[in-house]
Amino acid sequence: MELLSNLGLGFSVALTFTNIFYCFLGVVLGTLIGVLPGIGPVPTIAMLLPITYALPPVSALIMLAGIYYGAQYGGSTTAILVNLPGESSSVVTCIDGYQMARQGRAGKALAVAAIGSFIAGTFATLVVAGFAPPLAEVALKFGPAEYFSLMVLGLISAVVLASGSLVKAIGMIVLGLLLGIIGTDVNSGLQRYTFGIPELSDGIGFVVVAMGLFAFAEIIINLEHRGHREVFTDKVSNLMLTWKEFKEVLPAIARGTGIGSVLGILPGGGALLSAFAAYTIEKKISKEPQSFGKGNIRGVAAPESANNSGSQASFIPLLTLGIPPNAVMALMVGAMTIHSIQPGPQVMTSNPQLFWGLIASMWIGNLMLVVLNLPMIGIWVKLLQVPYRLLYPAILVFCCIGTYSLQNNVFDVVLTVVFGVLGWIFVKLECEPAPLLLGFILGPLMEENLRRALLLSRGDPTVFVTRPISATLIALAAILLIIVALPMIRKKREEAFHEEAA
Amino acid sequence: MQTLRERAAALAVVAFATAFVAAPAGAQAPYPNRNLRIIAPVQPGGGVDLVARTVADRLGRALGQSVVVENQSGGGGVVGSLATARAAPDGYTLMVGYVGTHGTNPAVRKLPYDAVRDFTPVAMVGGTPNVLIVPTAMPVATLPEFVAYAKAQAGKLSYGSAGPGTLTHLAMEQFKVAAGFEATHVAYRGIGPAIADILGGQTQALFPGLAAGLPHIKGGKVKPLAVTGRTRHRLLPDVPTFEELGYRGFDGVQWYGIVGPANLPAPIVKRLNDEINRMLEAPDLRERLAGEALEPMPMTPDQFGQYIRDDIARWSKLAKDRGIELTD
Repeated sequence: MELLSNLGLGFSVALTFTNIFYCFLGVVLGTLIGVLPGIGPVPTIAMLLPITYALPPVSALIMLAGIYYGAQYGGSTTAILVNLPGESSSVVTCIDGYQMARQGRAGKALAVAAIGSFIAGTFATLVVAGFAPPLAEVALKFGPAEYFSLMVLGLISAVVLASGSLVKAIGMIVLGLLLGIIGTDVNSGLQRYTFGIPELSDGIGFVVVAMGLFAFAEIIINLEHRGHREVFTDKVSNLMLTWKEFKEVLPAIARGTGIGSVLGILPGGGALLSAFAAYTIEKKISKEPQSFGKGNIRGVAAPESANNSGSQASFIPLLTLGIPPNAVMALMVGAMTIHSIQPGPQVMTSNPQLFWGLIASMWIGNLMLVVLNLPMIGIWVKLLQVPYRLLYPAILVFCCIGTYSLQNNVFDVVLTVVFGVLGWIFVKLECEPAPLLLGFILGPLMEENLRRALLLSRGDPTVFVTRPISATLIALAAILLIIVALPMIRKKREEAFHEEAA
Repeated sequence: MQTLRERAAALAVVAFATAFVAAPAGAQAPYPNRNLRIIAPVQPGGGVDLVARTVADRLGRALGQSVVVENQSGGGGVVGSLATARAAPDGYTLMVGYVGTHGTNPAVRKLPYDAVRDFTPVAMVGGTPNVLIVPTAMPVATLPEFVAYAKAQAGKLSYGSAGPGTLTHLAMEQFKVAAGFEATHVAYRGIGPAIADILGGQTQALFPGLAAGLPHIKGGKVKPLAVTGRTRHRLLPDVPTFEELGYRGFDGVQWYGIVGPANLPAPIVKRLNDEINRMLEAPDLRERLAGEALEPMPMTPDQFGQYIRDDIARWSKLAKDRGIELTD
């Protein structure tokens, strides 16, 4: 078995004392910055890059990778405890995770996130090890037409994702699309809706929108009900999952893992899309879809598994194609090139220790994370007992540091406040922010790829249905649309909505 | 007889006065007497960031002060450039100026700053050539064959770029004019996705910087036809330059240098230029820059200033000829 001997080589590299140490350092650091709202892996890795000059390349990459998935992991902790998505992929975790925390089930939510992430990470490691080269070929088949069709599918799923009124969900998506237009148009290079403000020329940052709509708005709402703010810590139940609950979430974890592994390989937004997709599917096949958004444990398990396997699968385009799918991966490319390793298809053959060592270290890192985090759950939950008058200024300060560090610019901090107020208005209007964020992310990608696909086809729109992958995605979107539009199901939706209102 | 309290008060006054007198003296302490910052007008990762961090690291050791890298991305370098142009010309704020901020941007768009008047050129670091790549499957082996193929396809070819008005776009437009063929421009958000689409066969040509293109050339999915610059590159010794093949004016490279706000005092500029040129001599630094396929290009501040003006003129002329302007 070639795979086994390769993995054997990988573990022999990853299990040296030095590499275990750097892996540990990476995941601990990653967890810490993940927990601190807004301080993401990008500035952390950028700051640590010079230090890695002195390390052997394998150890350097193992540490940087550890920071990356450690941050994903830590990000879900703040998402669950204080409704604060530090990473784009933990937006979905907020929906049910925070509700669970409010019901005193924060421990269980954190536990399921940890276990789900570990299972997903283990599986994704195997996927990367076994199928990276063929999967990379699949990713290359995704041209602009395929991306556009995927975005169409994603947006239509977003409608299904919404638990409340259909009209409000569509309204929020459209608002998200509009906000996404702000910035420089990729095709013409012209600026749209930037009002001559250079800081807006690259568009509004995702973290700015997410932090404003979720964290700031939540704080405003909580302060509004000052006298009788719900104290959700008196009724903390068992921290660990019962066997029955475990059996209940296992299929959700499996589905989330699968979706994440598939979508994660696409360069460009795969990990985030996978969290949304996993949540949508979980809700769709659930017997009680109305319980989603109100603290359904599977609504935490599925997206958490999906984003973890997705973020690990996103190493595939990096390692096999040398194409970084996001800023963190771009920094990893930088870390490789300073050690004179050209990332790309030849890394696997020219530096097998590095390639397989990194993959093996991912699994070890995931194991460390679960071992580290399960005992910490008790401590995290205690955090909720900190009086709110002390907790919220701390959250605000960290959020401001985080948004400032995005571009070292005060403008983003101000903008976050604006979105905080907007988020508060949305809560008052009972509009959910999650579809807005999906529209905000997918909108620009969708437009960009639509126009690019049409440029490549010289204006021929049949390109979307004549290319097989694109046609399949469009067909799926159409089926989904029909399901939503069917009167019977619409009635069921309304029932669900009424129950929710009741 | 002074009381103890009086004596203490007198001491305090003396201490205060000393501190006061010492303060201006401190300000006159030789440059640099506090931390410097280098603005990298891009996101972390990539060539500009690498140059910023490498220079910061070395310069810090040479000057005995910490040099902090500050990434201020946005608008293809406009946000960071604006911050630099507005900073005090005291030598404590520098920026990595590169072909984008001080070459192609001024050529194609209206900027809230003047790339020549609002900056002081300090030192050139180095440059990397661009390389024309096509899919391996394309039935051409040389640049003349490619030109003939492109002409035969009569505008059916599409080429990618890292964005409208970037070097990868302008260089290909320059070549289209020189060789006399037509091809449709398809813009991407950065060079990464543009490379993904040429690997996937969506586009048929790309003009990336050597550092970005090299791994894929080695991977065998794309083949290099020619490089820009005056001489062949040692990493691709078998690939001819455009110059060799009879195309003039393809000596523009993706360059990176250090600039500061306008009116930087000459002694400070000289000090920094000396330090940076000295560090460009160090073999281990050359090796690190080689990872980004960067060749050191030491220059005096005056030479660097002339280089910037020439580069802007080169791209401005091309942009004007081809009607490329990104303003409404």
